Amino acid sequence: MVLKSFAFALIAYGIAMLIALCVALIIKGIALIVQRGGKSTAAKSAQQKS
Amino acid sequence: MLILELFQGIYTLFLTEPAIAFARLGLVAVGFLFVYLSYKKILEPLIMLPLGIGMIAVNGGLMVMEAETLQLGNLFLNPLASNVEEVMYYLQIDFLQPVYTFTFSNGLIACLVFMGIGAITDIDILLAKPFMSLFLAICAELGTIVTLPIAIAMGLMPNEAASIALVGGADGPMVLYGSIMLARDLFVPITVVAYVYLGVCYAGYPFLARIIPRRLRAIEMDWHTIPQVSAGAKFAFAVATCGFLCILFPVAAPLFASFFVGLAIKEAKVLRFIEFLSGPLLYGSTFFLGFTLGALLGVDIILNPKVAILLILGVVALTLSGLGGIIGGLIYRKITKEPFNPLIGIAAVSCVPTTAKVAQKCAAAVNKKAMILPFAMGPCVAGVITTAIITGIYITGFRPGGVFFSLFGG
Repeated sequence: MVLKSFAFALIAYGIAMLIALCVALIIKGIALIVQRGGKSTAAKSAQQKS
Repeated sequence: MLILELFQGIYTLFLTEPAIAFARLGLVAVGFLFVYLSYKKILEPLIMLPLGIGMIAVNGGLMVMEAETLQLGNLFLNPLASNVEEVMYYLQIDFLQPVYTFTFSNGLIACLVFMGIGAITDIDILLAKPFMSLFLAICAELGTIVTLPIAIAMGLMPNEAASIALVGGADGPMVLYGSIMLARDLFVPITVVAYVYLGVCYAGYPFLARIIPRRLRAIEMDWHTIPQVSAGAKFAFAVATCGFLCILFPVAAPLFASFFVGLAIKEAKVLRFIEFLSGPLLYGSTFFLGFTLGALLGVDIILNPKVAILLILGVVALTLSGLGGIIGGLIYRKITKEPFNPLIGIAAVSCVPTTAKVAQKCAAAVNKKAMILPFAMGPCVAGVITTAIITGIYITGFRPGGVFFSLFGG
């Protein structure tokens, strides 16, 4: 049982790492979208001014 | 003896076995100790002060409930009431029974605390440096992972072992929720062990931090270089991550939803809700959490032989998590080769914001100019997320008929 639980703990650790990586990628993705949104807004307002 | 019957708390000392009577007195003494240490701010007073008073009152206030059978009890609550008739009876008799029945046995109290925590959590650094924050947070889960097989080797059932291993995540509400889901019989001692040790973390982790060479502890970090994160990005993160994690772990969805709804409300700047969640809800729930836990700490709970094992495993879990965080900090410094104070790794042991403060305290002790607190908050908040992920995996794995049993037939 100890070995089985150790194996499960390792699997759990691996899954947690993968999910944490996904969360980090979500953050990066959102940052990218927000950045693009900001740029397009700035471009639109510049066009309107000109 | 007749005159003693007037003073039932004393009278019941003579009605029980001497060992139980002494244990009751011992628990009253421990209650006084908790109250004193909370008053001196050595233990976290928000939890431990009402908990200590609850402990004193429930162990002192034992009385004869039925004169004919000499059945003993108190007027606080009965956690063992199970069928509807019993529950309805105690709801009318015991003053804390409504709090226990409607908020503890379904994990609501942990979720309410989590909503409040979400509403006061600053996620700027997590979003500005997500890979650093989440890498350190994963390293600081070492105790949560390694304690599981150790606990089983020490004779606990897999579900009980998973519950106590969650102490390594250093997140009180998460331990409470996980243990209610996995090991209802042991959720009181496990949660109390978690909260007591989390209080002690503040005093104990600085000693652990000394394994980092002094010159590394003194490294200064330029927090002016941290990029600004827009409120829109933070709001989008809260909503997207909540959806992502709830899809992965429906069993822990109440926890995720509670934390991220608090976070979303904060970032959406809904001021009335922020005031409510971060004030009355958070502190009201924390008060009743502490007081009801204290009232649950009766002699029958403490005399459980598993409590001694839980006390040892709690220390093991938190020490290993602290070590994991430090090792993570050292590895991150090696990988990035940028000026990085490895003490920030300790902050990744969740427990917002205590461990971040510990990291800052340790850095300032060797270099007064070392300002690492803004950086430390990122891994600290990431620690809440990684602990919630592992809680989700453990609940899914170790609940009756869970994945662990399907995989290994244990």
